[in-house]
Formats: sequence, structure tokens, C-alpha cells
Amino acid sequence: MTEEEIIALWQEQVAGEITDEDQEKLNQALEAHPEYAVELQNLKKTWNLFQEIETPEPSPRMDEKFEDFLSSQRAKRPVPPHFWDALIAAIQGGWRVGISSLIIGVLVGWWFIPAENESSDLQYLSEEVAELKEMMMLTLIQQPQAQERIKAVNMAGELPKADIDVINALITTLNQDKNLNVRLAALESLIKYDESPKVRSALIDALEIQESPLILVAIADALVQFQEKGSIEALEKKRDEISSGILKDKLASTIQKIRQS
Amino acid sequence: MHLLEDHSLMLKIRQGDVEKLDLLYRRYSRRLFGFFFRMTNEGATSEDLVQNVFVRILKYKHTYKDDGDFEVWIFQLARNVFKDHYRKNKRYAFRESMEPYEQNLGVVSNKQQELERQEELENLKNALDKLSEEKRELITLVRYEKMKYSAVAQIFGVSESAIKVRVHRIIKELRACYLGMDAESDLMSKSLKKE
Repeated sequence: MTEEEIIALWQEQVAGEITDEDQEKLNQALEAHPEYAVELQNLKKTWNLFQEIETPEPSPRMDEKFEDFLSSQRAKRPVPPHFWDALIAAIQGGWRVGISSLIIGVLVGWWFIPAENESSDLQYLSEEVAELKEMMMLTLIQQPQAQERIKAVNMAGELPKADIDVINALITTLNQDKNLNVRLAALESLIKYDESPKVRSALIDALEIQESPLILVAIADALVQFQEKGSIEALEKKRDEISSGILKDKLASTIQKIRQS
Repeated sequence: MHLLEDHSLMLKIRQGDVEKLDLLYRRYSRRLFGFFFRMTNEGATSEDLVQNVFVRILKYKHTYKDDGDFEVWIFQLARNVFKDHYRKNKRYAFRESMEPYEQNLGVVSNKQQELERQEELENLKNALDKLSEEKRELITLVRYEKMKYSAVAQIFGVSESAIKVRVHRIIKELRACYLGMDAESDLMSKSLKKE
């Protein structure tokens, strides 16, 4: 392997883009060339130091300026607002009004659609409704008010099938939202997607991240419900880490239940 | 096509649906702010440059292709916005106060550790400032924006392997510069002790 190839693989490794096969090749190359191994180890320290440099948040002025700009662009449009635009505006202004109008629209449409096209058109409408709900959910989940974010995660739980964007948004909320109630609501919505391996593995990973006893108990109950044997190791690790006696007992009984399931 | 993908949102904007710009702003404004902040070290300027990018999205929406990659396209616009700004202002004549932005950074409790960490980071930041604009852009996109090498290669119009080699050389350059500074500051501290 040439020096350039080793560098390319190392760059992939530090950026987290390397495949298992290439990782093996890199390991072999570094064993054969220990001088590169030392140099790359040193460079990795510099690479890692980057993440210590924080980027500040922009001031609220930036969002306000963008809002002004977007409003001016809206005002420029000569045509009356499109149906979807009006609906999105309704979502942003008052999502209850938006969703109520949509449901009324679907029901009226259903009533008037000829019988032979009924099932296919209804399916099309249902898909449209699901997509709009998903769009609303992803918009609301970014709102600064915890109440709006709770609405968003509850809405996610009502979606007919698990979309990867929705699941990712829920997992991020579970692990990063500052508000405990929002995190709990995100967990409840995630539990509904129990057949998704991504959700199961996210719950196992969350054991390590979460510190709130309420969340940990809820995750433990979900893992018992899923009969997720792959979670035993993470549960044991968490049980050994925590000092609270009640929580320790709860995790021990969870492990036992999963083993027996 | 998925209704919520950046690409499909951008295609809607191209057709005149400006409302979709709001969702793209929510997704990209912080990343763009980070990119410009790394390039200028100026918070208020970075905010203005983010705004310029979104103005340009509407201005040049017709150039967005049916098979375009939105992330690559928006960062190409961002690079051009920065180049124009740099041309107009040459190198920055003054530095604005960073106080309002620094207040938004996290607080670390242990004072001694914080001082050492700040010193290391300051050396690295100074080393980054000494890089050429293009090198700084490259390292910002790869390291801070965490863009894939393939996407960065498209932005710079070179091969993926060339990008990897360039990034590697920049890290080496930074390390050499950073260690040089470190040694310098050590020497300074020793000479101060003698005095």
C-alpha cells in the first residue's frame, strides 16, 4: 500500500467513513509501517482538538432578518397563495385549524368521490395526510416552546408507518431535548415503532446517555415489553454505574424479566 | 420523491414556491453561520452572510439542476458569498467585539483546566487563522460541517482522493504551526520565570 493510500484510509477512519474491510487494510498497513502509525497518532490529537473549538450561536437578529426577507418575498408574489402554502401557513399559525380543515376536506372528498375510484383515491389522500402530518411534526419539533415539541412527538406516534426522518427526529429529541416531559413523550412515541431495529438499538444506546430515573425506568419497561435480550449488557452496565438503590433494583428485575422471556 | 427532502423542497422553490425556503433555512442557517464564523471570526458579519446565501438561493434558483445535490449547491453559494465579501472588504480592517457571541459559549467550572484548554485552543485558532482562505474553507467543511469527502470534492471540483490528501497536509501544517506556537509560549514562560 502506498503512502497516499494509507493517508486516504486514515482520513476516512478519522471522519468515521471507513468500512470494516478498509479498517482491516489500514491496520495491516500500519503494522507494517510503524513510523506512519506514530505520525498518524500525533495528527489524530490535532484532529480531535478541533472539536473542542466551540461555535457560538447566532443572535436572534439573524432569524428576524430572515423572517423579514421571507415576508417581503411573499408579498411580491402576484398569484394567490397555493393550497399547500395556505395549509403550511395554517400549520405554522395554528396547527389545530390546519389539521381540522384537512380532515373535513378528506371527509367531504370521500363523500363525493365515485365508488369505483374510492379505494385508490382514498389511499392517495391518506398518504398526503400522512406526509403533511409528518411535515407538521418536523416543523413543530424544532419550536422553542416545550409544549409545541410535545405536540410534535405525540403527532409522530400517530403516523401510520415509521419514516426514517421521523424516527431520527424522535431519537434526537429523546437524547438531546432539555425538557424531561418532551423526552418522555418522545420515548412513548418511539415505543410504538417496536418493530424497527433502529428504535430498539436507540433505546439500548439511550441507557448510557440518560440520567433521569424516570426515563431510565420507562426505557427499562419498554425493553421488557420488547423482550430485547440484546439490551442485557447495557442494562447491567447501567445497574453497576448508578447509586440509587430503587433504580438499581428496578434494573436488576428488568434484566431478570428479559432473561426469562 | 420524498416531500421533505432538501432536493424536492429546492425544486418546489425553483417553481416559485418561496414558502419552502423557511424549512431549508431552519435546516441550514446554523451550519452556514458556523462556516462563515470560522472564515471571518465575526458574528454579525456571519449573520449577514447567511442572509445573503438565502437571498441568492432565490436569485439563482433557476440554476439548480433536476439532479442537483442541495447540500453541495448551498455550500457552493456560501463559498461565493464569502469570496465576494472578502473581495469587497479585502482583509478585515477591524475586528468586531466578540463579547455577545462569546457569552453564548458553554461555561467550564474548573478554572485551571479551563485556562490550559483555552491556551491550547487559542494556539490552534491562531494556527487556523494563518491558513490560506481555501485551506480554511476546506478544513471547515470537512471538520466542522462534517461533510462527506465526496460532497467536498464536488464543491472544490477535484477528486475525492485529492481532497483527502489536501486535508491531511493541512492537518500536518496546523500541527507544525500549533506546536511551534506551543514551544514559543513555553520559551516565553521559561524566560519570564528567569526574570
